[in-house]
Amino acid sequence: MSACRYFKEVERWFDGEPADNEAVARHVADCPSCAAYLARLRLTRRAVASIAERVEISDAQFEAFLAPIREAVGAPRWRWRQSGRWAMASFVTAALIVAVAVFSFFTGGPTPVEANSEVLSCTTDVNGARADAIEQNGIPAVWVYLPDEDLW
Amino acid sequence: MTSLGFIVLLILPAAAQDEAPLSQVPISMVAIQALNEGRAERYFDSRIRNVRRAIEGLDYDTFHLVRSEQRPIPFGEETRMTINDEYSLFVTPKERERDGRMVTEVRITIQRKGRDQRPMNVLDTTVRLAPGKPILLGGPPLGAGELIVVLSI
Repeated sequence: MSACRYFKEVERWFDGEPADNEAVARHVADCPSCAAYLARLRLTRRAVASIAERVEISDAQFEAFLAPIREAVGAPRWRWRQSGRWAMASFVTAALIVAVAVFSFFTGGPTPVEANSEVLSCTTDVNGARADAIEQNGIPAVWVYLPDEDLW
Repeated sequence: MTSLGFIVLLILPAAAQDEAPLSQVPISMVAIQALNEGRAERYFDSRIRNVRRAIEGLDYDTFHLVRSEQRPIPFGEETRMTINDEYSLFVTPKERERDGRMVTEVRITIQRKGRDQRPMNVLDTTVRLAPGKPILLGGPPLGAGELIVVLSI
C-alpha cells in the first residue's frame, strides 16, 4: 500500500471530525491506497472494540506503560551499534587468524600434531641382556630380553 | 573495553602458554603383569580398560594390573613412581618440542628384597612421547610372567 497525501483527511473523516465528507468519499472511491487505508482503520477499530476487558491506565501508570514502547522504539539503533561492534570484532579476529597463519607459514610452523611417540635410545645394565626398540601393532615399545639365569 | 582489547586478552594467554616453559608434565603410568596361563579366552583386568588397546597385540593371554598412577611431575627433574616392592620407574621430562612431544628419559630399576645390592637399571631409555600416544616398556620378569609398563603423557 503506497502512501497518499490525503491519508490525514481520510483519518479525520473516519474519526468524524469536520471535513468535506463528499470530497473525501469521492477520493477514497478513486484512490486504491486510501481505500486500503480506510479498510485498515475499520479493521483496527473492530479489533479494538472486540477486546472484552478494557484496562484504564492511570497517570501514575503511564510512564511504566510507555517504558517498553520507548525501549522498543530505541532498540533498532542499539542493535545497529551492537552489530557494528560484533562486525568489528569479527574483522579483528579474522585479521589475527590471517596474521598467525602468515607467521606460521614464514617461520616453518610446528610439525603436525599427528606425530607419534618414538624410542630414541635404549640400553640395559643387566649382564647378558639386551634392550631393543620394537613396534607392537603400531605402538612403539622397548623390550628387554633377559638371560635365563637370575638377574643377580 | 574495546573489542580489540577483549580479543587480545583472549589470545595472549594461549600464545604465552605455547612459549612458556612447563613446570610440570602430566605422566600416566600403568604397570601390568602379563602371563600365558593357557586360557581359552584372553583375560584383561577390568582396571586396565583404558590401555587395553595398547597391549592387546601382545602375545599373552592374561593381563593383571600391578599399579596405575597418573600425576604431574616436575619438568627437568627425575621422579620416582613405584611399581611394586621390586621395581620402580624413574621419569625425567627433558625437552618439550614444538609439536607437543616430550623428550623423556625413563628407567626401570630392580631392587631385590633382602639383598644389599644397589638398584640396577633393567631398562634405560630415552623416548619422545606424543600426547595421548603411549609407549610400551616390557620384558622384565614379574612372578610367573613379565612386567609391562604403558607410559603416556
